[in-house]
Amino acid sequence: MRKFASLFVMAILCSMLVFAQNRNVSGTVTDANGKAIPFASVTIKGTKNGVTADADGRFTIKGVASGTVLVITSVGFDDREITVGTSDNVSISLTPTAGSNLTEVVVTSAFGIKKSQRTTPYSSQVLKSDQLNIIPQTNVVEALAGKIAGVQVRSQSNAKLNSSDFLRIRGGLSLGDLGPIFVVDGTVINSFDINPDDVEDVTVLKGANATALFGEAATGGAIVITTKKRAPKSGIGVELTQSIMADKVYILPEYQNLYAGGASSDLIQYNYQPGQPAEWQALDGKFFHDYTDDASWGPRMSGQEYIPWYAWFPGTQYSFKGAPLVAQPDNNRDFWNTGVTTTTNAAFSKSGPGSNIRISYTNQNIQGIIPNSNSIRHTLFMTGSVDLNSHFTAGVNSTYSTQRIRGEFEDGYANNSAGSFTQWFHRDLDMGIMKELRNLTSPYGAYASWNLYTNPDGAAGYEDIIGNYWYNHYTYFQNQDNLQSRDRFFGDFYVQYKMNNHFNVKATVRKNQLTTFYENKTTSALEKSAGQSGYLASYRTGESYYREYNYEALATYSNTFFGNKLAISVTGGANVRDIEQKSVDMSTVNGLNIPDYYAINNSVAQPNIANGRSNSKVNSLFGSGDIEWNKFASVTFAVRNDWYSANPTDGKNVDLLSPSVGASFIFSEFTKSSLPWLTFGKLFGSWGRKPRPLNTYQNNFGYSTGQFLWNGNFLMGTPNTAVDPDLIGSTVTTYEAGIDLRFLKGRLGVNILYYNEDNDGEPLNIPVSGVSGFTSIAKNSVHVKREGIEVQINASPVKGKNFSWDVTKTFGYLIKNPVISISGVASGRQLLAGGAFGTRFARAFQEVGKDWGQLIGGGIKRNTEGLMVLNATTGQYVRDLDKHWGSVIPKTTGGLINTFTYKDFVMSFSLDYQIGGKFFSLSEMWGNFSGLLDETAATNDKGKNVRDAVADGGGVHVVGVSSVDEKTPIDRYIEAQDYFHQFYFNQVAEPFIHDLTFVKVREASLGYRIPVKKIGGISKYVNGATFSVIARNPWIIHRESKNFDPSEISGVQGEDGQLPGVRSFGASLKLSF
Amino acid sequence: MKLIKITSIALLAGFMIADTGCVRKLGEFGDTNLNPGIVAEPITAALFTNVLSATGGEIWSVTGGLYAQHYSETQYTEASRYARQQLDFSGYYSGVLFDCQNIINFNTANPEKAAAYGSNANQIATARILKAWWYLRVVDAWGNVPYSQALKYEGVIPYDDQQAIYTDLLKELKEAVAQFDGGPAFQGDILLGGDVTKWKKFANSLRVIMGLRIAKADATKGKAEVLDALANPAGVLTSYTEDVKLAYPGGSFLNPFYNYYNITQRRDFALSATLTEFMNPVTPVWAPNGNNDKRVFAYGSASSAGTYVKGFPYGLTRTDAVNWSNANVDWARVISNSLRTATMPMPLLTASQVWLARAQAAQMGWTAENATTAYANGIEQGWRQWGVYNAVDLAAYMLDPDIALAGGNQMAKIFRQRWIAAYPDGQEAWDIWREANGNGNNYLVLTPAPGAGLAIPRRFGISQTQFDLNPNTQAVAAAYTVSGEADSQYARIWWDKQ
Repeated sequence: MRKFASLFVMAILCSMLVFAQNRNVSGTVTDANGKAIPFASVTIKGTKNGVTADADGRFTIKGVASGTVLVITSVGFDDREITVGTSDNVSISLTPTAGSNLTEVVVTSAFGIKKSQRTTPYSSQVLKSDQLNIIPQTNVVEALAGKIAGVQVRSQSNAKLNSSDFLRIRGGLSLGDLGPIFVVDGTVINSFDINPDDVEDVTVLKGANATALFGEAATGGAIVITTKKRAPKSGIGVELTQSIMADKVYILPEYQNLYAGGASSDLIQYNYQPGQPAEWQALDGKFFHDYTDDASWGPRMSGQEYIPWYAWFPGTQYSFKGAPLVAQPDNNRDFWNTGVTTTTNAAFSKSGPGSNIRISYTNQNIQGIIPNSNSIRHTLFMTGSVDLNSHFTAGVNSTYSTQRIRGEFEDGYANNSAGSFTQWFHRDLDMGIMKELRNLTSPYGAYASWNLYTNPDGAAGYEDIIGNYWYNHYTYFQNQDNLQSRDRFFGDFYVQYKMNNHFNVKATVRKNQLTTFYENKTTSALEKSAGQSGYLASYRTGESYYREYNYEALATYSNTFFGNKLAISVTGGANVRDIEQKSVDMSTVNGLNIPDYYAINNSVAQPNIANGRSNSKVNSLFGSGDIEWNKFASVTFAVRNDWYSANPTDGKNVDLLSPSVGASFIFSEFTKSSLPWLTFGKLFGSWGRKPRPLNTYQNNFGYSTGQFLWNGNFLMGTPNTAVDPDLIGSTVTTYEAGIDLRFLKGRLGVNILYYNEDNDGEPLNIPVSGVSGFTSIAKNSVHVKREGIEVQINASPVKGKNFSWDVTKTFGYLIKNPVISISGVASGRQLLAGGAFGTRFARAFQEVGKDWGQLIGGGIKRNTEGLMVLNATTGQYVRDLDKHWGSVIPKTTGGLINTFTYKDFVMSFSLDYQIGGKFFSLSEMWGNFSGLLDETAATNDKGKNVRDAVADGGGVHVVGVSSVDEKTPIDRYIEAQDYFHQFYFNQVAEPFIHDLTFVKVREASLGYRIPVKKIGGISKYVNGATFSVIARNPWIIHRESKNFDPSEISGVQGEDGQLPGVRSFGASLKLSF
Repeated sequence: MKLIKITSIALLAGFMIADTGCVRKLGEFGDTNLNPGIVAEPITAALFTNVLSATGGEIWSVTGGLYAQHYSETQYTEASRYARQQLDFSGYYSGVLFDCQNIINFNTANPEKAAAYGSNANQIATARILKAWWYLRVVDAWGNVPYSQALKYEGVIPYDDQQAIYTDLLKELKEAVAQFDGGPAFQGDILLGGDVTKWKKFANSLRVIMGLRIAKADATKGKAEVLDALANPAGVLTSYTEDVKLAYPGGSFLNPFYNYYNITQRRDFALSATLTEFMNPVTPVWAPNGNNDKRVFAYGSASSAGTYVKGFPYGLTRTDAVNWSNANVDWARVISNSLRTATMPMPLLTASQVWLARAQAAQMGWTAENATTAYANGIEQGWRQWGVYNAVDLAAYMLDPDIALAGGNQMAKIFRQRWIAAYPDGQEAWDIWREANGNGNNYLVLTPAPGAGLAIPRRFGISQTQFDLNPNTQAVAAAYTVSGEADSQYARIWWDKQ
């Protein structure tokens, strides 16, 4: 490596000796707003001498004298001629062609390499800042939803301040779900730490053909982000943006509101027992419902008097008094806070000849909808570059982001908010009183709960009426303090040497560092306050450190030959990547010795202590290039070879080669006269391969010791993953072909693309039966394919002086996504995602011969005619052990961005949808088991409530055939509890499987550009001002599942107790000075 | 100038093409890929400690204990109402069994290195006994399981016939006892402190238990094993002071009952009323059939009255269980409050169990021993083991018509006592119930959970994972078909003859 480095330095030094002999003129091509116009042609009038400006609109042309006329042309702009004066610097502003909608789109690839979309032979959708930021989203993934063809965003509830949504490109390609990488100005980072305010544009690259230059990191695709670099106009720019949004829970399950909590359908009379607290005598003879069972199979609520849970505890206005037993239809909704998100961004920029700088500070402050949850993030972004002379440019991009997140965001089974409200809860609980009494403690010292360990009639005193499974929900969130802190730094420093307009070299050092710290505290009062909740007072803390360096060298040569007919651009380079990770984690065990003293050394038993370390390196050489003939035919290639520290060192498979090649043909160059309405037509196709190396230490087999000593003896277990000695890296292959058409001066554009990808023999840990002595083996195993179509339509149906309408429509259809083989797995089936109670219900599997991610589990058995088979004795469903419901991936995804401009008003909204794909709802299963959801108190076809006894005309009506012969019809009623309990007991998931299908308006914004120019006085200081009314998730137009928002399903297989969806409304004001 | 330009381009081209020496260097990373968190070779003593540390938890085998009605479920009652359990045995193989095998493998492949932790012979012999003990847990619950080809890195392997597995396990135990040499003891022995004689007694005693277990299926073999084991010079467990017990150190390793009730504060499991009804003092209304077995006050926590132990009625529906529990908050937790400490030892095999097995062997005429004496020893060692021994109470107990062998029904009485003595090892009690019923006899009657058509399961179903990962599972499932249902929990395993 050292040898290469020295060669490289030499090349730079040699080049420094070169000085221009002719007079050179440099310039920048921009639009009227000062935005760079990329790839404009600059020629000396009357000659064939010319250059193409770069992606930033910059060019240098030589052989120029005063009085020379330069002709500047760019698609979508009127040609312009300028006469060179005495200055060596020119600024050229172009005017858009009237009625035209065609502009050069710049595609950004690995290492910040930019190229024109006209010569791009693969899917490369580019999203501009205004399309991305229709409203201020807290994370960039949410902002991408529905806007990129073939991309599925699995959003997560906005209640979860610590998580980013999951983005899946084109379906599954490995055994597990692979997300794309996010690349900011060439540095790979986590999507969570990207500030949408600083994004200029986003290029989404999908297959191996497009991402070969990224190497293995981009197996799931690459979201390539370019940040805002310069002031909108020459000179100084100041922008201030302030937005505020209020968040309210949106979609909640539909509950029954007829029956109260408990297991007993009758109220129980309380008879005071001598020895019980004397004050309880006041309640003697009154009635209560069972408090110990956390289900709602209790008495019918008709306003009759009963003893609510809080009446048993002294010290409140409700103590020892009865209350009317009435339903609380909105008790779930009432629990959640109104969240508030404020975002403030201030950006300062200055551009001048040969230098530009931009500094942006963003403050994002979120008060979450979960009690005691909040997040504060500060992001400081700086970018700048300076031309040291006409050859050297030095620049830096850096982002520092620091965030503190407080709160408990558990969204699994039986979590303390949504997990209780939809799975185990009492429908008669008044949330207002719950909130009011959140600090109420009993004389025993425990917090009062609605779910008592013992019913008071059998209790000796307050020590027996502590909480059973649950706390007062407000009390819980007040006594659980989780803090996470993230400090992310990423950025790069580069020196570029531009020998002339054709050749330049660039050396870049990149760093990406994330330091996290967390501490979780559970109070001693929580331990004392509930019987079976399992909560112990505890303290946990830890830190993690991630650090990645990339050292990158890049040389680019571009030139035109044969009178601009042949354009060649080639890039070569090298990269060294070095990743280091460290972590430390500690937690107390079995409680705290001294209550509420949060220190690891206060642990009752020896604390848990663990540390992790890993280090990996990759060395790479790469080259890429474009060859274009006469602006209608082009060939693009890229090749990268990687040497991985994690791959076997036996010499034969250390390195992996990833080549790609593609071609574009712009046939509209030949149809200008025959098809005048066809403004632009391109056919393109490409092929590529990208590597899948071993994971760090994947081929290491060894032993570690247990942390604890048993009377001085340490423990050691044999690891459960064996390693195939032949384990090697592999590659993924992609083919793509498509057509790009634009009509009517670009007012309508259609891009249709077909892709076919193949991942064969990826090194993975494959499960084997434990009878081997191991549970998995690391081997080259899975073979997955995917094939689909992506369509993107851009249209400007109306483009008038006062009113215009622009629309972008994306559509992705996954034709097939089969798992071809999983070698070493005899059944051809491999678990993808389970969730709580996994084996009892439905789980997602990879199954050979079927599409990726099959949802499989206990169904309802049908006979040959499709009639449901019922147990002849009980009338309950007979389980179909291995029912297949289909893939968890929606076949069709898509979206629509609409922008209407009328004078100074701009209205935008983004709508997205998906069709197909399945999920399992564990909450619905328990919500039925516990008598919470509306079905459990429905009216049957006899007009009676299903909870009424069958003998009285109640019960659930079931129709099917007998399990004995699967022929004899059964038509009967069964008791509600027998019916709704059967799904858990008989492991039947079927009624709780739903489609992921939905259509929703995700973002909407109505903005007004305040005409500051007309307002006297202000216009001196304020250049522009826009006020917008904004909304997030304002309307879910259609969904197949009634109890949950299918766009926010928390797990791959479904949901386990997920937090509710959030709808937000707000406003933003943007000022530029 | 042009020359310099061309040179620099050529240099970069050279940089791209790269000579082979450099390419080789690009692939050299030194120690980068050596995981700093692991060591390459096992420490056999640490593997041994690890396997032993898991034995205590195995004794609290909940599902078997529910089927044997040692325990009752108090709120979520599906397992005790025989909802189909598909339990996975593969964790035994990838966990403790492979660690045992690894001790044997490492002592065989690297005898010098392994000898740092005890003589190779002692290590291998100990690992064989321990492995047999674990295999027995698996084979008695599921029947035919992978054995001869297991633990050899291959997951798609045949299931072995249970009879063949039994034959090999008995052989392993016998050979292991003979294999011990006079060399250094195996280090890390948190169960028996490296005492070779105790390991031999453990192995011999296990053979006695196993010999009786196969009495219905292969009496000849069973009898021969019992006689051979009893004749071994090292002998069997005879006094409660020799009980094979895992003593917990507390702190980071807690007795599982203590951890369950005292740390996690759950209350899903109770001592079953089936057990307390037989053992309670005669007088309270709770136990009209009580026989005043003092062990009951050790087996469970006392009722609020203090004079008896309120077992939880077995197998109620959820609603009934919750209602009963609400009305009887002083129901018996497993193990008395005073015994259930962080360091309470868990018994793997006791002298009481072995004496009672010998009583059965004598009663069956397999041995020339005196059944009555062995029976009395078994009960006395049990009382002593649980710290409730008192000559007067024991004498009274032994005279009770339900207890005294002299009154007839000897086999039923012996089985009843073996079922009691197995406590808290629920699976062992379930094994004894299956041994006791068949071949035309019905020596130990347990009433199934209330409800039409409910019957006590006779084996565990195999987990879906094994169907997925080992296709040989299908054939075994088919062989265990009852009333058209494959892999039925009501199918009888080899030794559980009708």
